[in-house]
Amino acid sequence: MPAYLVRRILSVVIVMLGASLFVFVISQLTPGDAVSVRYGDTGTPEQREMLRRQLGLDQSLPVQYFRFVGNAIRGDLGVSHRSGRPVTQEILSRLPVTLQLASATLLIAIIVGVSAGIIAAVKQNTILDVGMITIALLGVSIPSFWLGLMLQVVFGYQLGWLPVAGSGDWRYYILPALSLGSSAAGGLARYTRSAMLEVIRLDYIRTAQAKGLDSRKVMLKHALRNALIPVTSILGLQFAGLMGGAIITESIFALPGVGRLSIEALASRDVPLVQGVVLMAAAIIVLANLIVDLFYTVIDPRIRYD
Amino acid sequence: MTEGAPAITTPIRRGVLLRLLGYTNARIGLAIILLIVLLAIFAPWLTEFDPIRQNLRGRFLPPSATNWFGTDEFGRDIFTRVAYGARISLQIGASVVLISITGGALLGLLAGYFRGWVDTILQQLMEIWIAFPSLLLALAIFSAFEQNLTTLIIIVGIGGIPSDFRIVRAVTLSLRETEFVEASQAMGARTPRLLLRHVLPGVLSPLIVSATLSFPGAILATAALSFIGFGAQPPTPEWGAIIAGGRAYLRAEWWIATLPGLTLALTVLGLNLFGDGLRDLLDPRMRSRK
Repeated sequence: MPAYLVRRILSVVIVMLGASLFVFVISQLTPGDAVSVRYGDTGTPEQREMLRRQLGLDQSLPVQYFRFVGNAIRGDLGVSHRSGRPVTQEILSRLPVTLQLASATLLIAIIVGVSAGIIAAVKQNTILDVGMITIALLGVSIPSFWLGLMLQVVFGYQLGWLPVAGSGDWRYYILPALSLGSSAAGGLARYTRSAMLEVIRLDYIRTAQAKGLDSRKVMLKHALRNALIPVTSILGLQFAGLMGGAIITESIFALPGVGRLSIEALASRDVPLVQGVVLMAAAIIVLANLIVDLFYTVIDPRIRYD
Repeated sequence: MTEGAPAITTPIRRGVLLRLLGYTNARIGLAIILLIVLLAIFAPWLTEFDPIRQNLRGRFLPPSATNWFGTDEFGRDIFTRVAYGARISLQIGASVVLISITGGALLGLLAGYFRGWVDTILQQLMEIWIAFPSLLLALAIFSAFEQNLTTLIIIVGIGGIPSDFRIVRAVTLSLRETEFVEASQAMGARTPRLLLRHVLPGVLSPLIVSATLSFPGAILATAALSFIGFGAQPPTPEWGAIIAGGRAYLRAEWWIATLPGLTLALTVLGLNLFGDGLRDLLDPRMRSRK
């Protein structure tokens, strides 16, 4: 276990170095450096030269890269062109909204998806099963950005039950979480169903049934426990998808989160801010996957990575 | 030729499509796909309108016998735009999938065949790639390059490489140990020939399943990015862009965003149904129990 842990953390470090190199290279390819963004056509050559030196742009590329990484580790991702505020501060001020959206979405996806998957598997080949599979398939097929618009029309404009834009109390998160979570819920339902069916065929379930145990107990206690192990493993992937989807959902529902921040940054060509958001998101995704992997070894004693 | 190879490499035979039609879901899926393909091919004959030219006298007409999906804020017939949009979306999906399976197959073959440091480096590279969901990758790259449909297709295509890489690598690893590959090695076959003639065919059927399953995702991802304004630009009749155009008129002129969205959902549903059937047929390991 410790050897695995060391290797796994080493791999996280390599991945993050690769991600930072990627972001750095992209920023080098971007036309217009920080000096021309700050001064435009104004500024004396002396002023420009001073800023260049201040920002370290007169150094060689490898030196600039290592400085970038060193600063990033200390939490310094540069200064936003647009607002003049530190990028880290900009992101941190928007992060709570995105995290609330992501947790609400995951919660809905897990509750709805996993229970639909269980019901479908237990009631295999009944109308209930077919209904659940069909709804799950619709969930993964309906574009979430379009679903978001339709939810706004029905629950916002027509019925007037829920706010359609902005942020505030929990009611502002219901429609965004529903639209972002529908495909994750559909995916989880499909996955849980097949994992349950896989487990139900195993001998120990037949034994439990033969012993005369209550069938509900067999399903929920014996089968579900093992079926949920592979389901956990795709949660990491789902989370990565949510981080990407949040960009679009936040823009539809005017939620002031990191996703919306990234679009604003892109629209105003604020390169340090775009880089910062991308790097931060990559870090969150890598961490989430690490946690899922480690959790995996804890809940499944059959897995030992040594 | 599958002697000793895992069950996943069942070769594709001519009868596959016929057997596939035995699945009700795949049948429905195929019917939907055919409908959309016909819509794309015959768009100019199906409608008398132009997808781009404006007609300001006929703005905001609700759906009717003449304008099946109604008209938009520029008086353009929405059904016409959706039909022409089918051409764009199908081409986008195909290009994206082509990029990711070509890249995934090439790198996967190399990693699985040569193993060692080649494998280690490529695997690590894929790990880094996975940390960026397509949408984020697109943001990062759009900050440096021109924002247009071609860039978008390349980005989403590259984003799909890791999953195809994994599949091809795994199958190549196991095929490499089979007797027929060893025999051909012993007879002095060169590596490129060995990979193309003996390993690639075995990789083909899982790769086709993966391509079919990622096609709908490719269409969704590009439509979503066009929807928020990166990718297809107006007046291009791309589905995501059409839906974005209707966003401002949701309250009263609901049809502008609703009907194109339904078409997109239907297309993705058809592709998903078909892909599920194909997977069940070609990849018995993943077969959903009947």
